[in-house]
Amino acid sequence: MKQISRHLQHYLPLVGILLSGILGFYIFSYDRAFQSVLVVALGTAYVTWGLVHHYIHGDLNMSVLLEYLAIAILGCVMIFSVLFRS
Amino acid sequence: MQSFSLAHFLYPTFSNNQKAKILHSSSLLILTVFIIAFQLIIQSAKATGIRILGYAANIPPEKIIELTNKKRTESGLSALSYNASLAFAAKAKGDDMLTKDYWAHVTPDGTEPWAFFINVGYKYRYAGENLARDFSNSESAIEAWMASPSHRDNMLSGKYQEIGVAVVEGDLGGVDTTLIVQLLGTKLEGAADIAVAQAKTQVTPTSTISGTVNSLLTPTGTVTYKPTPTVIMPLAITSPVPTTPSENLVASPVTAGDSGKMGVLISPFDTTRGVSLGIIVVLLTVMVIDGIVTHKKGIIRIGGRTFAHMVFLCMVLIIIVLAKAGEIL
Repeated sequence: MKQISRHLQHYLPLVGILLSGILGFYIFSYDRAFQSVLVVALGTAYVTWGLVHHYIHGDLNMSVLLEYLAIAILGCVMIFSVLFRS
Repeated sequence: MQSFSLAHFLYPTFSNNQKAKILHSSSLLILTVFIIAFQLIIQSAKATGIRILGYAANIPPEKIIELTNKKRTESGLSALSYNASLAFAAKAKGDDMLTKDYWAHVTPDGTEPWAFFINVGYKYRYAGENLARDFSNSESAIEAWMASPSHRDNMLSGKYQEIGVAVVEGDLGGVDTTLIVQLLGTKLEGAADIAVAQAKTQVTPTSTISGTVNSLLTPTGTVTYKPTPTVIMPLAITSPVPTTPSENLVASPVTAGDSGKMGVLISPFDTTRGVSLGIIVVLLTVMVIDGIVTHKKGIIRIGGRTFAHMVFLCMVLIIIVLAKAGEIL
């Protein structure tokens, strides 16, 4: 918890970006192409956030990058699998 | 061969370098491959004999008409009147999509949607078509159309006076699907419906459309006809005009086993959503446990921020929950 409050100025933009993504996904529920682009953009934004965050804290390395990439790819694949089944 | 307990995968221990194995990048990639493989299995299920269910919903056409008129009334527009010819045209379009296995306004051979109007003898001044598939009820289909600017413009256009709706169920792309075809139109002044059941020849008009175009496939301008009589095959629609809007317009749903295949029905959407939500819930639970354990034990490790991963997965979870079955065109 202490660590979260210490990184609050970093987490707030992340939460803002992801909330915007949810809102956009909901508003443009009729536009599958837009939703697809949005999902990719959110995944990219998440990985970028991770890189910037760890770079600033001086603990950026390949395993960290791979971890963010793995989470982002998994999330995007799950959304796409549902999106193109609906 | 080294054996690992369940804790190795779900709990930070010495064996997994103080991080639940399922949260390792390699495990996450394996989960990704699993989801992709699962999709391929669903895709190929048809070949194995498993019947895939899209949404075999009970959607009465008159409900679609009623809800459409309700939306129009709320917008200060006049209600559309039911036109049997348009309903037959909608049925023909739905059947055509199932027969030729396509999901589009224009048929694979390039036939425009307006041909279905003409085929039933409906000479239009204005014509529009809204399509929907795999919705579980009438309300959600109407709401989806209303959420889309081009479909909403169609439904709430003051240019239309009549409506015809058909709900057709059948196999589309290997999936049991419910198609909703909504046709909107205004007759060309002075033109009357042609009795289709008696038609032996078809007038094939060459339409010249002028004026603005609301959406890609919705002409809103004036249509001028240059009829060219053409001998055609007998039209498929020979039933008498129904006395109620829904009569003869809803195809009987296919029941399990009646096609000789295995009597197993799975919904690709629900199954996929269930699997994805299950994976996310497991990952979030493990992350919470991981966060608590590492905090209590004071474990310091190099890696991504668990809290950030949880925020991202929560977003994925919400999006998947928000995703609705059904597609409009």
